[in-house]
Amino acid sequence: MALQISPKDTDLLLKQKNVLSADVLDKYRYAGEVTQTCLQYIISLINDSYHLGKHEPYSAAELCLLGDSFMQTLINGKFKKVIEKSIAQPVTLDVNDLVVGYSPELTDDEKTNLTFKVGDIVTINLGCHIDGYTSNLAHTIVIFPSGLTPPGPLLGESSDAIVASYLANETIVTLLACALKTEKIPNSLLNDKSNRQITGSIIRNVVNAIAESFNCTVVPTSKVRRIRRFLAGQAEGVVAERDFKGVVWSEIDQEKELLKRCNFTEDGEIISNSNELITIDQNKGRSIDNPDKAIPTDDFVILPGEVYMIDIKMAPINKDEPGLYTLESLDGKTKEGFNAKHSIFIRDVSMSEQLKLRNSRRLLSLVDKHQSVYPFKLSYVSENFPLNSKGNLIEQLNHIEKDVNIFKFGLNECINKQLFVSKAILSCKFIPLKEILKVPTSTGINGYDAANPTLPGMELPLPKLGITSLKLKTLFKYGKRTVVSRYVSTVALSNEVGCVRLSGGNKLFTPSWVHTNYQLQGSIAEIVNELSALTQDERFGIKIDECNVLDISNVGEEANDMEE
Amino acid sequence: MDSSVSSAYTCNSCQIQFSNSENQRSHMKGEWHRYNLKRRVAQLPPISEDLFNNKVNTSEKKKKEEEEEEKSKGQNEVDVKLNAKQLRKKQREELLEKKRKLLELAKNRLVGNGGRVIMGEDGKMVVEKKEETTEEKNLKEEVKEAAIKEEEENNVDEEQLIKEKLANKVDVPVTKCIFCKDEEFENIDGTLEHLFKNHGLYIPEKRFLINKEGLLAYLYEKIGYGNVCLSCNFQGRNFQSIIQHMLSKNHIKIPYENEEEKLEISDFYDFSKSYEIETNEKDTLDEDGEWEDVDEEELENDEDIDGEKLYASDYGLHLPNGMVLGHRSLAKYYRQNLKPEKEWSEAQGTVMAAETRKFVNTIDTKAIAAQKRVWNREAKSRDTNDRRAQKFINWQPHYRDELLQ
Repeated sequence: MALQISPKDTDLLLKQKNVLSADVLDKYRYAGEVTQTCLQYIISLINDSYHLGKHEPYSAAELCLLGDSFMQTLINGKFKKVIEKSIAQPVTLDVNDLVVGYSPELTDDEKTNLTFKVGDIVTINLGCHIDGYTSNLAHTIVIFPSGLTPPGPLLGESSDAIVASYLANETIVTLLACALKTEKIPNSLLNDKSNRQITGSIIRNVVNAIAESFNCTVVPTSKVRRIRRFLAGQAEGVVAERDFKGVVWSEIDQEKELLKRCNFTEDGEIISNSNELITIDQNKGRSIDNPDKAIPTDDFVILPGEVYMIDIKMAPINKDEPGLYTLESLDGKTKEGFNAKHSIFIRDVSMSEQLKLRNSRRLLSLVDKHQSVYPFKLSYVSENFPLNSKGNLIEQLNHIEKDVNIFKFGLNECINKQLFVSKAILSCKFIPLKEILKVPTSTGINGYDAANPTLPGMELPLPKLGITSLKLKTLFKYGKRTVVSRYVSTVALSNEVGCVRLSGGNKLFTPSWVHTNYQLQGSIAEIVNELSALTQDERFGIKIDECNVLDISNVGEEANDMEE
Repeated sequence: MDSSVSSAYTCNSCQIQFSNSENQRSHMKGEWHRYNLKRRVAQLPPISEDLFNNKVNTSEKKKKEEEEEEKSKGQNEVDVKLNAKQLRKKQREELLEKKRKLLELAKNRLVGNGGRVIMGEDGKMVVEKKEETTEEKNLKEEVKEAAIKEEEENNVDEEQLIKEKLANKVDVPVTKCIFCKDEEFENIDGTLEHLFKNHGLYIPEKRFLINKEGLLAYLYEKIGYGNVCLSCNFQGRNFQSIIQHMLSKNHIKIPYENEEEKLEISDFYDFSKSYEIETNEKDTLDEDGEWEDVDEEELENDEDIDGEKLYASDYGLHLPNGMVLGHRSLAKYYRQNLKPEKEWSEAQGTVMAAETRKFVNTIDTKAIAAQKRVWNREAKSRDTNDRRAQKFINWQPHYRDELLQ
C-alpha cells in the first residue's frame, strides 16, 4: 500500500515536532486563548438570550454556527504563515443526557434543533488547533430561569454530576502539574514513597474516589490522555494510534464494580455467586500483544514536556438498582423520542474512490481543500463561512443554509463509500443489571460493532459477562436516559515555563450555581484539599499559568447584529 | 539477284541485303554491324563499310601514336608510376616466393634423404639429416636480409609519421575554444561554459573534477595533435578534417559509460570525497554500536534502490512506485486512467504514521526485491532464448523448395 510513512519521517512527525519548545508552546497558547475566548463568547450569547432576555433564545444550531464562525475568525487572525490551522472540535452543545457530538445544522427541523429549557445542563465543547497543536475545552453550564441572578442553586442529581466532574477536572490538572515538581505530590497518593511520579493508576484512583463520594460514576469514554501534534483524539476508534498514553474509562471498569457489589447482594433476583457470574474471560486463550502500545493501559508515567487532555464525564448513580451506565449512539433514523442527525464528519484519508454524483464530487474536493484530519461540519466548506461581521448577517446565514442543503445531496455517497466517517452523537443510558443478565450470548464474544468503533482493546464492553457491544445495543430499550456533566481542559507541562493550562480554569469560567448533598469523604477529601492548597500559593505550591481571553473588540460584533 | 530471295536475308541496322544466310550470319558477328547497331540505338543513321574501315584505321593509328609518345617519355617515369605501395607489394611477393622456395628445398632434402628413419643403438629413432645445399643457404640469408630491411622500413615510416604529426600539430591554449578559435576567454571556466553552451560538451562528474586545465589540455591534444575524434575514435587526416568531422557528426562529447572510457580521464578526477561520506556514515554507526543491524538495513536500502528502477516489459513500463503503464499496443484492449500520485499534508502524514490498525501488514521489502530479481532473471533468459532462436532461424544460404527437389 502506498500509505506508508518512512521511519525517518515518522520520527520527525511524531517525536521532533512534539518537543515543547517556545515556538510550539506559543502555538499551543494561542490555540488555548482562542478556545477560552470562544467559550466566553458562547456563554455570553446564552446569558444574553436565555438569562438576560435581551432577545429571543438562540437555538442550538444558531449557537453552534455563531461559535464556529467566531472561532474560525480568531484562528485566521494570527499565525498567517501556518497553513494547517482550523477548528479541531466543532462547537457542540450536549444537553442533559447527550455526551458528545450534538451540533445541529441550521437546516435541521424543530425536533432535532433544540432550544434549551430551564433546568437543562448544557456542555459546551469546542477546540481548535494551530499547526496541529490542539487545545480542547468543555464546560457545563446550567440554564436558569431568566433574570439577572438565578433564584437559587440547581439541586438534585445533575448538580452532583456537575460538582464531581468539575472537582475531578481541577484536581487532575493540579496532579498533572505535580509531575513537574514531584516533591509536591501528596504522600498519601504514593504507594512507593521513594519513587515519586504520577502514574496512570493514581489518576484513575483519584477520579474514581471523587466520583464515588458524590454518588456518581465515570461515564465510558472519559479519559485523561496525552495529546500530540495532530493526534488529539479527534478520530479515536477510526485511527488506532501507536504509543497511546492515557487512562480511559470504559464499561469494563463498571463491570468490575458491579460484580464486586453482586457478591454482597442477598437479593434473590440477582445471582449472588460470583463464580457463576464470571463465565467468560476474554483474555483466556488469547494472547493480547501490544507492540505498538495502541491499547491503553494505566501503566504509564506522566513526564514533563508532554501535553494532556483531561476529559471527565460524570453521571449520577441510581442508588436502588445496580446497572450499567453506557452510551447509545443516536443515528437520526428512528422517529421515537429525540434523535439527532449526524452533523460532524471526519475525512478518512486512507480511502479514495471515484464518486458518481456531481454534488458529492464537489463536496469531496471542497473538503479535501479546506479540511484536514480534524472533524468538520458541512457549513465549514460554505463560501460564506466564517461569517463576515460587516455584511448582512441574515443573508449570510441564509446562504450557508442553502449551501448545506446542496452539500447534503452529495453527503450520502461520501459516507457510503467510507470517504467520510460520521462522528457519533452519544447519549448516556442506564441499563439495569437484571436485564443484562437475561440476555443470551449465542453469537459468542467475537462480534463487535463496526459502526461505532472504539479504542483498540475495548471492543468487548463486558468481557467477564461475555456481552458484545452489539448485544448491548439490543438492551437500550430497557435503558433510562441519565444526565451527564462534562469538563475538558488541556494542560501543557513545560520544563522551562512550568504548567500552562491552555483551556478551562476557574478564573475565567466560574461553575454554575449548584448545590449537592454530598461531600468529599475519607482520604480523597484530604488529597483534594492538599492539592487545591498547592495552587493557592505560587511561592510554596505550584504555579498554573492559565491562558487568558483574547482582545475581541474588533470581532465581537456578530452578536449585536443578530439582535436586529 | 532475285528480289524475292534477296529480301529474305537483310540487316536492318546496316541497311544491306545478303544472298544467303551464311553471309548474313557472318555479318552479324562482325564489328561493323555492332557499330551500326550502337548507332541505331543512339538514333543515328548507319554508315557504310568503307567509312567504318576508315574510322577504325584512323583510331588505331591514334592509339599507336599515343603509345609511342608514352614510351618515349622515358623509362624512369615508368618506375615512378609504380608507386611506393605497388613497389612494396612487389617486394613482399618476391620475399614470399623466396620463402616458398626455401620450404620446398628443405622438403626435398628430407624426401631426398628418403626420410630414412634409423633405429639408434639405444633404441631411439633417429632421422638422418642431409647437409644443407649452398643454394638453400643463400636463400636463407636473402630472406633474413629482406625481413630486416622491411622492419627498418616500417620503423622509418612510424618515425616519419610522428614527425609529420608534430609538424602539423595545432596547439590551442585552454582559454580558447578549439572549434571557434576566435574568442578568447578570461579563464578556463569561461571556455568550459562556452563549450557546454555552444557545442554541448558535457563534463561528467563535475563535482569530483580537480584538474580542469589538465582535462581540457588533454582533450585539445587529442584533437589537435592526435587528430582523433573524442567520441568515436575516428582518425582524421589533419586538424581541419577532425574538426569538420566532430562538428558535422555532433561528436563533441566525452564518452563516459564503460570502465575504459572512465579510466581514460580518471587522472583528472578525485573521487575520495565520495568515499568519505560513506566512511563518515559508518563511523557514526560505529558509535551507536549497532554495526550489524544498521548494515543489514543499508543492504536493504540498496536493494530498494535497485528495485525502484524503471523497467520495461512486453506489456508496459513498470514505474518505481509499482504502477504499470500499459504499452500503446494494448490500447485497443483497455483504456488506462492512472491516478496522479497524491501528496499528503503533514496532518495526514502524522495520522498515518501513528496509525497501527489498518496498515499492520507492512510490506516485506526484502521478499519483494527477491521476487523482482527472479522475475527479471526469467525475463532476461527468455529474451536471450528468443534472440538466439531468431539468429538460427534459417541455416540455408539460399532458398530451396523441398517439393521441387
